[in-house]
Amino acid sequence: MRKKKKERKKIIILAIVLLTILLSLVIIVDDDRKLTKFEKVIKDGVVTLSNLVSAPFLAIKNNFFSETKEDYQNNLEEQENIGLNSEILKENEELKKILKLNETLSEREYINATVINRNIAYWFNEITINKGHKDGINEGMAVINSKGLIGKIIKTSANTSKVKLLTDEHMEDKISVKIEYDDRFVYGLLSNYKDGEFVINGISNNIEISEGAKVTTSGLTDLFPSGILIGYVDEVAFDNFDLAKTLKVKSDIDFDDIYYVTILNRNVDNGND
Amino acid sequence: MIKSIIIITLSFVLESNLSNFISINTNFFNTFLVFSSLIIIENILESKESLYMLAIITGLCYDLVFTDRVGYSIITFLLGFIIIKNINKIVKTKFNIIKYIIIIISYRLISYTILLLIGYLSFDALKLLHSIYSSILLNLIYIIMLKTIFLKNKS
Repeated sequence: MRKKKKERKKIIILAIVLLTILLSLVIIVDDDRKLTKFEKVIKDGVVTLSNLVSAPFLAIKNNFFSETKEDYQNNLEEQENIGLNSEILKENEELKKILKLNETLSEREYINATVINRNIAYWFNEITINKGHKDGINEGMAVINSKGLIGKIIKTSANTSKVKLLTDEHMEDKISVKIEYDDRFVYGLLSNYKDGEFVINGISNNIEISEGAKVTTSGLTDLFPSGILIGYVDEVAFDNFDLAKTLKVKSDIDFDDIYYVTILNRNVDNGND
Repeated sequence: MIKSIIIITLSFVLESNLSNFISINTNFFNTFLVFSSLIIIENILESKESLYMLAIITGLCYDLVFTDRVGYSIITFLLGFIIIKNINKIVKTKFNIIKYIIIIISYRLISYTILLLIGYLSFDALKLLHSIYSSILLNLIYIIMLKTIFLKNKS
């Protein structure tokens, strides 16, 4: 009898310990958790050392295997022109004059950075870049590269930042986009990323969207400024009930091979002047 | 102990730099070199307590440097380490490669299951399968290299 009681006690204690560990993990693993000062100091110290060690390897990679900084800058400008063509820029300037708006949805400043670690933990779909809050980077900023939107900043330390990639399942249903058709736009939400394509559900059957239509961010949420290229419509299909259309959007970005990135500092206040 | 620290430091440096050269989520090039090095360290260190302590400290460093989730790798490395010890006891075979493959698969399963249990990830069998088969090759090569360099005199 005593033995059984003891064993039962052991099992209960083990169960409580396991539950406590799992509950702690829920908090630890949360993407919105901010880094403590201790974590930031350690991370910056190790990354600085790591940069010294990896400098020769990166020099080789930079010169022989990847797009150079100049190519990246040229491609970035081209991508920005696709997303925000000169017509819209003109209209933007006119709007600002008429309404005396200091900022609009597409205003931003650019900070370039290099990727120093790529998705090492595999399940979290994140990359680490070599700029942090001393370079003006804050959580929530959009991150792009020369081919379009890649994600957003979720954690920062003094010298580094962590970028959550668009392909992560936690980014689903949070990205408001607009799809071009017949010189107009229709709005939607990116619902998931599968087999190299984003999916947009719930587009009205009455709207004729052709393959190749451009998909950009709408700027209607606080997450991302407007006009950033996501990709192009690859396939238009009806949903299971034939009530709405589903779009598959192909992005040119190889999310497993990102080297240079640009962080967009969106300067939009919440309307309280 | 010094050998173990050298192996772990080397693994940290390689894991960080390799990701800049190889698209690490593509087929066959997925790595977790730091955990893989624990498989070899298990043969170097004699004391049980120092092994567990090393697993905890390595997990802590891994979280501080790479994942920014202090505690996750401590638990996965500790559980993975317990599996390494048990597989070495249970699986009696001349071919160590089979043991290493089982350990690699187990580590992937543990890390995925923990995230599934706490609701961070949703279940996707294909994604799990892809993570397993894409991890085996490079990690196996690394383990064999470490074994050749550091365990020359041991069987």
